[in-house]
Parts: sequence; C-alpha cells; structure tokens
Amino acid sequence: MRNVLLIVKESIKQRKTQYLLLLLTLFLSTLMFTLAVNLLSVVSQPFDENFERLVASNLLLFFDSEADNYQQIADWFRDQPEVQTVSQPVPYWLFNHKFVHDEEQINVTAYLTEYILQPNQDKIRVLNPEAGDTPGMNEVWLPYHFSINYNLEVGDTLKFQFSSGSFDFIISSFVVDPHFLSGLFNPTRIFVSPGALAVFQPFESLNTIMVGIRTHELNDTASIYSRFLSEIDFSGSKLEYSLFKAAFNGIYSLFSSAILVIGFLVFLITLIGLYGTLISQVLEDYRQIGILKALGFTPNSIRVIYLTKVLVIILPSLLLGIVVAHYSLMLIVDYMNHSSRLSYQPKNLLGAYVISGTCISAVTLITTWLTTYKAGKISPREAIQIGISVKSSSIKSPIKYSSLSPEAIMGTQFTVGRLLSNLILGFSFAIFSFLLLFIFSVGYSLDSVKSHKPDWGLLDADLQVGLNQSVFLPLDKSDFLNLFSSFASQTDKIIPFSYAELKILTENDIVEARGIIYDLKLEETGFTNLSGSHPDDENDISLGIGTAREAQMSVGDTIQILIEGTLKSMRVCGIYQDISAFGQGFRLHTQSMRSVNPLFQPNQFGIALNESVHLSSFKEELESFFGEKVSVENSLELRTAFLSTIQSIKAGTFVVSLFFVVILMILVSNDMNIHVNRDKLVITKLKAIGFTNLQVKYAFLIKNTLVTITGVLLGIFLTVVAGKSLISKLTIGMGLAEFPLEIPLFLIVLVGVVVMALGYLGALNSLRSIHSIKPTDSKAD
Amino acid sequence: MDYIVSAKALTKYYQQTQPVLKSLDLCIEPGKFTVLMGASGSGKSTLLHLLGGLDRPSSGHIEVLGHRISGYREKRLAKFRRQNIGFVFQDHHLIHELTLRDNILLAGYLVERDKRKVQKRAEELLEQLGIASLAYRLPSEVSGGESQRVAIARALIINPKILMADEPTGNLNSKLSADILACFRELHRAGQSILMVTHDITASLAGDEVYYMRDGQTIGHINLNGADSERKESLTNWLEKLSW
Repeated sequence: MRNVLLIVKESIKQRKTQYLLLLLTLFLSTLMFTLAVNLLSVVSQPFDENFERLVASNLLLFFDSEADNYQQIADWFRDQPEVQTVSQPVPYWLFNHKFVHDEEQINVTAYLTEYILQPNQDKIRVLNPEAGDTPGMNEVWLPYHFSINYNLEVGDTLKFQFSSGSFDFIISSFVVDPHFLSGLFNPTRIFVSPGALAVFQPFESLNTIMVGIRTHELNDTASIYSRFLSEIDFSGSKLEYSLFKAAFNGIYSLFSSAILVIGFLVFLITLIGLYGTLISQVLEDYRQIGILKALGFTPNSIRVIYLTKVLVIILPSLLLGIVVAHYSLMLIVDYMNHSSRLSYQPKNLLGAYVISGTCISAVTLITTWLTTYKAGKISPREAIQIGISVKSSSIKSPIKYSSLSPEAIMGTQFTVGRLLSNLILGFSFAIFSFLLLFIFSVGYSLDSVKSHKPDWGLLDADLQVGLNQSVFLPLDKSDFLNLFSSFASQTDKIIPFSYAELKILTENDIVEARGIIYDLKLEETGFTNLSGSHPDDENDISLGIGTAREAQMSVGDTIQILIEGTLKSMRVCGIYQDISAFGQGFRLHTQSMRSVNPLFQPNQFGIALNESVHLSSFKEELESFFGEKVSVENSLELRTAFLSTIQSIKAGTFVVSLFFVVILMILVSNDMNIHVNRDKLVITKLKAIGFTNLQVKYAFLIKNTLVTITGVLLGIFLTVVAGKSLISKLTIGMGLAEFPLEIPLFLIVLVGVVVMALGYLGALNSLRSIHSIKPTDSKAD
Repeated sequence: MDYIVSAKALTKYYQQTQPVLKSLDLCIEPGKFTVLMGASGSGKSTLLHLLGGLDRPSSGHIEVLGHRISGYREKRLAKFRRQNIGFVFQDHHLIHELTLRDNILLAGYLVERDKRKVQKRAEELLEQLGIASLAYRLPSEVSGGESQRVAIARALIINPKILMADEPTGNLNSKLSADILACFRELHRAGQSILMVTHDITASLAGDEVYYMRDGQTIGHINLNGADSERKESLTNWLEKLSW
C-alpha cells in the first residue's frame, strides 16, 4: 500500500492541472446534485411545519349559512373517526374591489374575514406583538406577502372601497396565515375585527361563513370530503391542504427538480471527463505500468493505483461540494423564511448529505474501476519494449487529404484518430448547448407570456372588468357594453365571461371545480386545447388538465355535473392547460349555463387594448367613468406576485447557467490538455518537419471546431425535439402540461456562439503547452 | 570558400551542469556527404539538431545556407527548416494514423501550395525509393526499412538543400541498413548534400568526409576516397589513431 501511495503522490504532482480540473467539476456536480436532493426533501417542510405549529385545518368549507346548516355539518364531521377538530364558524365576505394606499390602487380579491380567536385550531401568527388579540374596529391584518409585494408597513392607512362607501383601515399587523402563505393564491385572506363586516355590509348579505376541518392524517381530506358529499346535501365549496401546499411549494419544487435534472447531467459530464482523464493517463503510463507489472503488481493492484488517485480527488471535492451545498440550502431556506416570515430550520440533514456523498463517490469509483480495466490487462513485454499501445494508433482516416491544408489534415486526423474521446467531448458539448439553450428559452418564454397569454391558459386581455352587483342600480351586460362603446376605439377585443362553480360526479368521487363560462365562441378567445376542441354546444365542456386527472376524464367521456342545482349530462370535448388555476377548472359556453338558468348573464369582461393605449391611464379613465359600478383589475400576468415569481425563476436559471459556463470551460480545457499530452509525440514529429506552434494550434483548433459544431448542432436538435417535453414534465404540477416553450433563432445563434467561444477559450488556454514541446523531445543524444 | 553549414564556438547546455557541446567549430562544404561519428553521449545528435534548426544553442553561431539561424526565433526557424532541410530520424517519426503517401504529402504541402505538383513529386519519390506499391498502407503495416524509405521520401519532397539524418540505420538490421545507405549514396551522387550522424563504422563508410566527436567537441576529420576497401582501411586506421 505504501508503494501505491508513493506512486499516487508522484502522479498527482506531475498532473496537477488535470487533477485540479477534475476536482472542480466533481465539486460542482456534488454541489448541484446534493443541493437539489436536499432541496427536494426540504422544500415541503417549511409549509408543513408551519401548518402543524398553527394547528391549521386541512379542509376549509365555504358556504352560505342560510343554505347549509353549520351545526349539522360540524356534527357530521365531529362524528367521523378521522376528524380531530372542527372550527367555529368564521364570517367572511368575498371582497372583490380595491383598496387605496397613498393614492395608489391595489386590486385584491380576498376573503375579508372576521378574526375569531380559536385557541386549538386555525391559529395565525401575528407579527406585531403590540397588535392585541384581534384587529381593532378600524384595523386590518394582512398576509405578510402584502408587505413585500406592495411595500406596505404597519401603521399605513388603507382606504377600502365598498358599495356602501369608503372606509379607512390602519394596518395594525401582518400575519402568517398557514393556508394563504403564497402570494400566488387568489383569493387570499384578510382579517378584520369580529363584527366589523356588519358595519360596511348589509346584515342580510353576511351569511357566508368558513369552517375548518382538521383531520388526524393530512391525506384523509379527499376521502372524508367525498363521504361528506354523499351523505350531506352541501351547496358550498371547499379548499384543501394539497392546494394550499401546491401554491406555496410549486415554484420551489420546480426549481429543485430543474437543479436535480441539471445536476444529474453535470455529474454525467464529470464522469465523462473522468473517463477521458483516466484513459489518457493509462496511455501515458503505458511503459510504467509494464514495469510495475514486471515488478509483480497484479492487474487489480494497478487498478487500485488509479482508484486511490481518484479517491484523493473525491474526498476534498465531496467535502467542499457538500459544505457549499449546505450553505446554499441555508440561503434558500432563509429566502423562504424571509418571504413568508417563517422560522423553519432544516434538521437531520446529515443523513441526506451522507447518502448523496456516498452515491456520488460510489458511482465515481465504479466508473474508475471499470475504466481502468485495460490498465490491468496491459502486457508488460509490449509496454516495456514499445512504450505505447500498438492498437491505439492504427485508425486510418476516411478523409481524402489531397484537398486539405496541412493544418486541416492534422486537425481532421486529431478528430478521427481519437474518435471515441472526441465523440464523448462532442456529447458533452451537446449537453451544454442543450442546457444553455433550454435555460435561455425557458427565460425567454416566461418573458413573452404577455404576448402569448392564451398559450398559458391566461385570458388574452390587459384588464379585467367586473360588474359590481352590490351597488344601487347595478349594470348588466348590455348596459355595460352600451356605456363601454365610447371606449371602443381604444380597445381591440372584449371577452365577456363569468366565473362559476360546479361539481363533477364520478363513480367514486365528487370533484369540485371553479371555472369560466364564456359568452362568445371560444375560438375567438385564442385559447388552445391540449387535446380535443372547444365547447361548441350546450352539452360540451372542456376541462383543465388537473381537474380532468382528478375526475379521471378524457376527451369523449360523458360526465354528470351538478351546476346551479341541476344535474346535467355533458360530453368532455377538450382538455386544456391553465397556469392561473394550477390546471384546475373548466370552460363552458354560455348556452350550457342558460340551459339550466335562462336568466344567466356574464358579469366579467376581459378587455384587450390597442397597442397605442396606455394601460394605467385607460384604467383610471374607466374607473372614473364607471365609478363603483365596476371593479377594474390588471390581468393576471401583470400582478406583482406573478411577476416576482417569474423574476425569481429567471434569476435562478441565470445562476445555474453560470455554473455551466464554468464547467464547460473546465471540461474543454481538461480535454485539450489530455489531447496535447496524448499527441505529444505527434506534435514533436510535426515540429520536426516544419510545423510552427501556430500551425499545430490551428490543427487542434480545427479538431475543436469540428467537435464543437457537431456537439452544438446536436444540442440544438435535442432542445428543439425534447426541450418542451422536459420543461412540461417539470411544470405539469403547476397546470402546464405543455409548457409554451419558444426557441427563437437569435437564442440558437447566441448559444452556438457562446459555446463555441467558451470552447475556444478553454482550448487556447491548454494549447499554450504546445510551445514547451520541442521537435527534439523524442530523442536527444 | 562558401560553406553550406558552419558553426563557431558552439556550446549547448541542457542543464546548468556540464555542456553537451563545448565551443565547437565546424564547416561543411556543399555537395558533400558528411558524417558525424562518435560514441553515445558524445553530442553528435545535439549538434545535428542545432545545425538543422531543431534546437537553439546556448552560445555560439550557426550559419546554414548563408542564414545565421542561431539568432532565429522559433517560428522563423520552423519556416527555414521546412523550406531548406530534410530530416531523417532513427525512429522514422512517421505519423501512425496517416498513410505512407499522406505522410509524404503532409511535409510537401507545408512548402508548396500547388498540391498537384506535390502529389506528382510524391509519386516520383515513391517510385524512386521502391515503395510505390505501399503508398496507401499505414506505417504499422510495413517493415522498418520501408518506413525509413518513406521517411527519406518525406525529407526529399521539399527538395532540401541539405538532408540531415540522425542514426538512420540505428534500428535496422544489416541488410536493411545497407539498403538505406545505398539509397543515401545514390542521392549524394545526384548532387544532394547530406549530413549524417552515426556511431556505426559501416554506415560512416557511406560518407566522403567523416568528423569524429568526443565529449562535445570534434577531435578530427578525414576525407574518404577510392574503393570501398580503401575507404574502410583509411577510416579504421584513423579511428584507431584516435583510440575510439
């Protein structure tokens, strides 16, 4: 063993650069892989920990206490063995107007909820210790994400506009609400003082209440709710644990999954680099291996030498990778904690680190053991006498050389002569090009959401106008359109619609869905379907991909739905995607609704403006013209939470792409070092017959260009063919089964240029060593 | 007299200990077949590398074909070398992955842009050296003697002013050696200047002027004339005097 260590020490000394580069790639892949694995295991914990600590209900029922009996419902749930507790009824009112802060309007859809202190269930964390037990009569408690998204502070005054007039509320605290942690959740929940709703709403409209059901097991929610619907006639709706959690975790899960995929690819590239380095070393050490074998080393002890060398690299890179991954994880957890005011601290990470470290080192060592198989098989006689593997230099080039320059002849020869290692390098270039183009294209596609809204399932509108039914003499559709005609010259398109809720009755389950009823042919909305077509008659319905999966429906199936209290049989005509509702929902044509409710009228209008019209000015103009009779909101993709999420994803992907740039440089540099070392003898010969350093470099650069171009083209091809499926697999949980990935030509060119440039930079750095090879190196008397 | 190669006070150190060449002077006339002879470690290959521009001296001057190449930088040396000097090495130094013909063409393309001309010359050389039938084989598929003939053809493709050979028969058996030396003599008869390094007395007999080297210096030289037996006797006697 001591002999082995001596040989290893000397070998590492002689090949410092190669080992350093290998150490760096191994470090980076350990970092990404470990971070991704740990992030995936940790990502759901802050939500769950907070959910448990605040004893949150995993099922929230929303209903009209005039239509459904609280006591009957509460009693039914309390009788179920799965149920732990049932909350008191909490009055709420769906606030769909706006509030004004410092003359700036903030559009909000929120459950304006009276805060009822419940010691054992549905607690919230009040962040201002001086806020008291409940909000005061003119006070409001807001979810913490408001302070980040709208720069609000405790003490700020908000003017709430109700049908009965405007009311000023002071923000007396921000709160951590376990259900509505994410700013993406719409509507969110805002707390006011007990009894406050009666002040600004007529008493008779204060019948809506929410009730929390907490079960012993989180996963019991679906089954118990299904049983509830089959036994109790319930006209309300529900929100459940999985939806709250998905809203909070979706982005982090997507980010972690992306890092995991990328980390895996980087690790693959590291293994390729390791393979190349080891093969090149075995060739360089050919004579030495022969001597060692002559001295009595067995094939396995020769392989142990290489194994020990790799082990020497693995240990520091794993340690460093895990330490940096740990601190990166802490930074992400800090960000999660900061953005939602959680106090989560990951525990028991050691086990995960040990597992990821063991996996990486095991795969690396197995690769080393397999790669060095040939080293053990070297014949000592041949190695000592000839010094090189005879088989290694007998590949005849298929190229007809007479038409090429001397540099091109050698460049081509360097390419075909080391075909396997060049194929491996080309494959690495392909992976890098794929990853970079993929990342840039995802960023570009996220940026272009505004110009391709229907592809994302978003309404193709800049503004959304809702008719306010609680005002004196409310407008109906025709009133609104008549009045709106004075704005017609500034608008491009009006899409009338309404929100609606229905229940889908399946054989074993009842699936609730909140969807949209359109008062125009759906073809005119620009929406597309993943499969099937838009609803065309009153018996057609298209389902969001999430709802379709939940109800186990596909195109052509017949379903029973309960809508407006009427049971109706319908045909599933299409399946679509919609990021705004995490894939949940349905689309119907107005005539379906009118078949059960002839008086039905749409009360929402999506308005697309002409390009020249300024959005904010138009919005102000509209609000001033219609006053309290309508609410005007920006379309979803312009809302702060959505925009900040997109920015976070883009920032994350940018950081990841920087990793690639570093790894690519390392890989190319390492490969070129290996090739220059392998071809030292050829370089000597070329110099002896009159090649200048520059000509030898040209030859290597020609080889590099051929390999890089092949790799880049393959990478682009892979992105075009497989990019969309890959990102769609990652985003399907967010309701995007077919991510609208755009790969514009300029990005393809940009990635091609960047990868080629990095390839040249990495190569040029290593090619400097050509200067030190002399034409007399092979023999001197 | 104009010398094709001249060296003055030539010194070469590889490490800062003992010099391999010690203030060596040498002049070679054009059209001659000059042999540098000496035991292993005498510095003859180092001298050949310096005179051929493969390496640069630690001090002293080298003039080849009227060019003071000892002052040339690496790039200029490479260009000078490929236009004027053909090299043949002990280990033929062919590129394993190229066919014999491509090995020859590669050197020709470095100097002559007219590829047809180079190809025509290569065909002639392959024919002249008796290896035309092997043109499309790889170096690993032919014998040592055949490889060395290819190396000579590669050196000649540029029509060098001087052909330098470093132990060209060192790796060959006596029959193949004689073959290669006959080839050299034929080239010399056709007017080719040759400078050859060898430690083999039989190989030295091919030349018409022999320099003997010891400890990095030339300690004498002899002109060989007449029939083979006469040349052999003169050389043997001379070498005995030098106690070689």
